[in-house]
Amino acid sequence: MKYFLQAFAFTFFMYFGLWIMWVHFAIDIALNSEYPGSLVYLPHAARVICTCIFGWVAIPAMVVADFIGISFFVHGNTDFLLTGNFSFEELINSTVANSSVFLSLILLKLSGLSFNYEHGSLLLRKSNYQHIFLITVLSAFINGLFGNFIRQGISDLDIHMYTVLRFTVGDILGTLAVLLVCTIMLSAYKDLFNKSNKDY
Amino acid sequence: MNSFKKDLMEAIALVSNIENKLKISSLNGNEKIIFYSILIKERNDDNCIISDVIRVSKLSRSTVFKTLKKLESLSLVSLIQSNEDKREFSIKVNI
Repeated sequence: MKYFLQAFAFTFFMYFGLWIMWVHFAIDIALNSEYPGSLVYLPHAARVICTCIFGWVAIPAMVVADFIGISFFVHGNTDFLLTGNFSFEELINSTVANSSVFLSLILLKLSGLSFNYEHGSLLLRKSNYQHIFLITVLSAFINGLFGNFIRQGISDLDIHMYTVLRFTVGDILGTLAVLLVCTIMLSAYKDLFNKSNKDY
Repeated sequence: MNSFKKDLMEAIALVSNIENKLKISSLNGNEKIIFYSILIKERNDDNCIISDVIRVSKLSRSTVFKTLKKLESLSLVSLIQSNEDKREFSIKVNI
């Protein structure tokens, strides 16, 4: 139970923080009103990292973060939402999108690749950036194709293939951007830590 | 049940893995002093030799040698043997 709460809280704050940054700074990058879908969807990094680390526990935390974000922090432009507020359709959409990484892990497990020896013949490592990149690409395709298929099913929207492509590219670029910034921050933190250790 | 702290360390290990791949992992104090000494010497003069680095960095000969070997292994500098004196090396920054 303690692990669940810690994992839930960590995922919630990471996803929510990235979502707020995306809504305020990145949502307008390469905007195209005809074909929705952000080209730098930062919260996908939280989906990838948290689902890989904590498993299914991360999914409800991200759905709750979506609910709070959309209900209380979206003012003005609501073009990226299905109905303009957090409706039942948006809940389904959010659940499917946030499950994309978990679905990609299931797909990899079926193909013989898993984080556990018991489930797969080939072992994936959470600390290996190449394995995480594979999961990112796979989940971005699942979110782009399957997510938009569901979006079309639950709303009257006619989703163009170009929108699917924008979703996929946006998820990949968003994850890469977040991982790159985290890497630079870790490097700077190590420098500061070494400097402060020498001063004392 | 998994340990939260252990799982979180996996995320840090992932970022550290990218850091190593991109080669932006930080150099320690002496490595930075020696690297900057070579850059300063190269800016003033074309040819930089080990004695110049020792003089500019004010570090011991053994520290400079050891650190230069590490910088060379990181492909940050190249040590080129002199044609006239085989004991002498000129140092070039690779960036």
